[in-house]
Amino acid sequence: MRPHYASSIANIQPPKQQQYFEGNRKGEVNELKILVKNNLSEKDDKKKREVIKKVIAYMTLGIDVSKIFPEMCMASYTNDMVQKKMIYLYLTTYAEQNKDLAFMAISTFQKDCKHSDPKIRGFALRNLCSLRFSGAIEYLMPAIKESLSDIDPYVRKTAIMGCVKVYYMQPDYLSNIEEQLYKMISDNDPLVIINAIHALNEVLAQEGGMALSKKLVDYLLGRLKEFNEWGQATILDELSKYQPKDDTEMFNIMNLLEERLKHSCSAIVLAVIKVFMNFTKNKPQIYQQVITRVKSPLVTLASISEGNFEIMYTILCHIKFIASKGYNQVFAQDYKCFYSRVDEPTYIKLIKLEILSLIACDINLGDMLNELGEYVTDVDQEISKKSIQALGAIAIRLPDLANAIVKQLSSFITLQDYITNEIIIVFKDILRKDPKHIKDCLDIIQSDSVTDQNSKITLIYILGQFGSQIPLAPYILQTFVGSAEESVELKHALLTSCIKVFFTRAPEMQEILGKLFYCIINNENEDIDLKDRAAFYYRALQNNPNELKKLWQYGIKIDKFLEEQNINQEALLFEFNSLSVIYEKNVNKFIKSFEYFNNLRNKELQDQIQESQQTTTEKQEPIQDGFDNEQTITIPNTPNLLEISNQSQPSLTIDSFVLDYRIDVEYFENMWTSLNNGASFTRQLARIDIANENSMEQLFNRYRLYNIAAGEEDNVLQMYFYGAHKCQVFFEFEINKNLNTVLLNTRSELEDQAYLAQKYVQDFLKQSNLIS
Amino acid sequence: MFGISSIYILDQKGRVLISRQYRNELPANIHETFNKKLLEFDEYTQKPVMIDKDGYTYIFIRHNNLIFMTVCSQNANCLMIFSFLFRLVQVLQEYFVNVEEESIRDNFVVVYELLDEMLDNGYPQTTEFKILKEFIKTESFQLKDKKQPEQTNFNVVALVSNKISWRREGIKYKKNEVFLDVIEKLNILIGQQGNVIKSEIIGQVQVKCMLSGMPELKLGLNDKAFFEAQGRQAKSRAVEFDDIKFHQCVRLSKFENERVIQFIPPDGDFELISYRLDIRVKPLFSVDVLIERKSTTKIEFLVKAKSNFKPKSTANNVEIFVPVPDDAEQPQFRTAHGSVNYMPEKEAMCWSIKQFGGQRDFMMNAVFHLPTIVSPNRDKFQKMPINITFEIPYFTVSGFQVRYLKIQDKSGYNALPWVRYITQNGEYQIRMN
Repeated sequence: MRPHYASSIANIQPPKQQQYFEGNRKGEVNELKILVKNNLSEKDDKKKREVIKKVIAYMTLGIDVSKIFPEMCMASYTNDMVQKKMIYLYLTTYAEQNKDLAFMAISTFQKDCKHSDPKIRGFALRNLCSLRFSGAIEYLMPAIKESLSDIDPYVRKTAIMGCVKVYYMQPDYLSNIEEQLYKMISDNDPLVIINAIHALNEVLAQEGGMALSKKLVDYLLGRLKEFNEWGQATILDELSKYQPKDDTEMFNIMNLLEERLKHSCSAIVLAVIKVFMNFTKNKPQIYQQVITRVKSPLVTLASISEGNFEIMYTILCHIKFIASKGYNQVFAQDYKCFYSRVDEPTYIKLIKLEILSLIACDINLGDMLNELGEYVTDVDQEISKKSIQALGAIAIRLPDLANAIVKQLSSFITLQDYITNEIIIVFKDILRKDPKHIKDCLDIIQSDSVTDQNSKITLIYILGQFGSQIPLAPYILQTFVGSAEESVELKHALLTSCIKVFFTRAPEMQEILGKLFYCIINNENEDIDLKDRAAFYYRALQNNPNELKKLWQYGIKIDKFLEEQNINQEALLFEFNSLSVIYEKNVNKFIKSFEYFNNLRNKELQDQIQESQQTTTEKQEPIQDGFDNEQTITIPNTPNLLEISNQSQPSLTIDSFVLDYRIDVEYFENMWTSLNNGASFTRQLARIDIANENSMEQLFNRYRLYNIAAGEEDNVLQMYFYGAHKCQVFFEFEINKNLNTVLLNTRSELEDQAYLAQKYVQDFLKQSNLIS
Repeated sequence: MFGISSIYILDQKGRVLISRQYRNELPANIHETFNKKLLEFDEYTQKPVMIDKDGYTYIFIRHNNLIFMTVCSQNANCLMIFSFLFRLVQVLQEYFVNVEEESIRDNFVVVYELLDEMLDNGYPQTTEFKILKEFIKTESFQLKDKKQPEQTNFNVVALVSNKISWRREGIKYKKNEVFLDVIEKLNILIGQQGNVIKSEIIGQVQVKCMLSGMPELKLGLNDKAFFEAQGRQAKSRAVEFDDIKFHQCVRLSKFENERVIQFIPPDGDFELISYRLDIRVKPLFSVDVLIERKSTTKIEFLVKAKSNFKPKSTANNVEIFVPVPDDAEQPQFRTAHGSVNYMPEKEAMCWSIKQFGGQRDFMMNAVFHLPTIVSPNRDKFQKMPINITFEIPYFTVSGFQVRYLKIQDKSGYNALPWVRYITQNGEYQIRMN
């Protein structure tokens, strides 16, 4: 919940038409309580509706209105359906916190469960089952049992779901319920059947869900068309677990289902595909035919879901999944469907690129090379890099066609630095696989536009490995020797490469290598490992260069590449049409058990109780609490590690600050005016998209600095924050969108603390890329 | 198949407007975790399915200024969840026309009721608007006035368990009519030399049905496979569908066996058929742009647009968007046809021609000044494609035709079928050099 004070200095809420979301909420819960009480005896339903609506509006805003619980219980004795629904919503939300009082409400629910209108019966039962506290179960079970055999399907389907809810509260209450649920699968009403299937799957989760007999399968298939799309998808999903007895049965079912591939609901189409794949997974030949058959509907779904990028993304993930399981040839003809459009989101473009790289082959490569070439020059750097990587992956997978790709990549030499950087990395992999391409790579290798650290290391590796075939190799290596600002990794690579080239081109390299040894060994601040290595090689060369040369010519032949293993036939079929396709992981790699989540939740509930107890004591003496955390100054695990250790100055981490520290507006104002400005900085704003009040508040909150006031005028956002570690610190934070600047003023009683706090803020602003 | 744990409706910054828990298994502050993840990326790179370190999966869609988000903890069927979320938006649209932050706030009670009725324990239940309407009687407020259709009372319970879930009984119209709109969208990408890199037709048949009773409709198309199934010689232009998808009311087995499209339609508007044709299409329009840099501060465009369809058709509201440098200023346009506007926010100029006959060509000349301080992205515009929007009535690119529509009802009334054809631009792009 937002701190209440925020609105008292500057009111930033835009005016709303409806009164429900307006105004100062402090203390209003009490007023509301009186309002509800007074209106209980009101005859006019319209007026009562308005009052109850107001309560729900408060609840929606996240304000705790649980205080009104008794009054709302009383109000539930109404015949007005609209009121009833709102009151029930309220009761189910707050019942967990008001166990004692919730019993009052139960009688109303029970009465409504016997109402003459089936709509009300079902509705009351659904809400009764949502009252999640253990005491309710005694009342629940009789109501559910009775409703399971209600004459109305709406009540029956609700009762079934009630069983599931009870199951999670107290599984033992449901002895022998399975039998009844199985019976209900032969109900007349489709929704009852579907809910029974869901319920069985949850109750019998440990035994692998509902058991499927041939009879049951035939029955469900026969009635398939009666179900709505969700029902059909559910039944098909169920069916995919079934194993037909013989081929005849399998083909019968598949023939029956084939027409469903034309359904406009993508969930059904995918569910049918899953059935087909699971049925035929042990029959490679038919499996291949199945894939060929379902290709067209898949491609259509991927292009028809125009605008619905989310569905398109899911379908593309599935296409990629199939293609990556060794069926990439199936999509080879349809490669044009995977060309990107300008207005597609980046995540769609990237997955399309991955698919293209998978399905490339000799029949489509010509066209595809041109298209991928277009993406290399895309304005979006991420797309550009990914398309270079895609080209590289194709070259490695299809050695016969690699030549054309290398030539095309080489032609990008004159373009931006980041393109060259990425190409070098891709070339390394291609050359590792097939060194004969070296002559086509020379132009890029010998250009001097490699700027990125990683690419430089890669370049040095290539120079070392293929030194004898690169005319300029020694002289490019020379440019790196003695350069102070390079990283240790780069120097390691440089040392290795220089020695490798030395063995093939000693006359040219001798002087360069000598200089390198000199630079490394005589540099006092040099990395100790690097020094050791250099000294070792130096002595070895002095002693017996030929012995060392022998050691270096190990000549391991690589016969299996990691990249090639991507395509394998082993299929994770059962997981088709589920999240594991999207994450490309097996289920047990990312899904945790029910107990795990339950523990997580229980722990949270306990924390909440503790926290609420703490805050009551904390509020009285806020400042003293600050000293508890005094000792916990640690060096954070950030990229700035080096810089910080050089300064040998303590720095602040998130743990230094007091969690949920609170002061009031008046105090803040007094402190702010009485203190001098401790530190301040102005930076260029790098990301305008997150520069709004809400995200800033959250960002600071995450680092335990709290907002006390905020306002925006003429594109200048001004916010005040505070926090406490050794002492209190106060911030004035301003984002000027006209000038694109970020300004921070920090004040504190201890001036050096203001400085540290400012650095702390600056660091996390940098991390969130707000400033550069 | 697993249930959804909860649904959140959030504003675009990730603040919760309305939420509903279905299964008691989530920490109360789960939306804050989502919110943090939302801030990490911008809209374009953010994937719509995310997982956090605790193993909760967030699946969400965006609509106007809203985010509809679900959380689940199991290996869910995410396509079904997406479909459900889109359906939820559709139903909300039926209620308040414009689904946006304000209308959600105005109608929070109805939204709560819908969320309660459409999902139970996280599993989709009834999601048809017309049936839901019978359960939810709370008034809803629309942002704009829209005429409320007449309400008739009928047996709801029969509805929920009805085999034909998409149509109720007892519908009555004074005049029985049905309107078919055949809309084809042409997606085409044309290379610098005028070569077609990719072309594709996405078609749909939209139906507005105003028929009484429970009529059975039969639709005949110039479908090549149908003629072949009948053993007849295909007529001059029969269409070969790559893939065709139908509304749930169509009897799929009938189509599968006899290629006959037969159905009992829902009342009102719905999409009957959608299809895709992967055929090579000659570009309907071609555009040539000649760029001349007169000096460092002046750039001239000569744009030539040509239409390649038959002279008897006419394209309406043609708009040609030609990218220009992002720092171009002081535009001067000359053309004999239509009007030209500079749209700096799109970094393009828009040449609009109200009516563009077939086999015609028009010219346009544009001169821009460029500041002496060169913008870093000045040459970016040459990478951007030319976009064209248009509408050609009474024409389908594929040659799709409705041959007949037969309407039969027990009561034997006469009904009038109406058919309209239109071709629109889909993603119609031409690459500049």
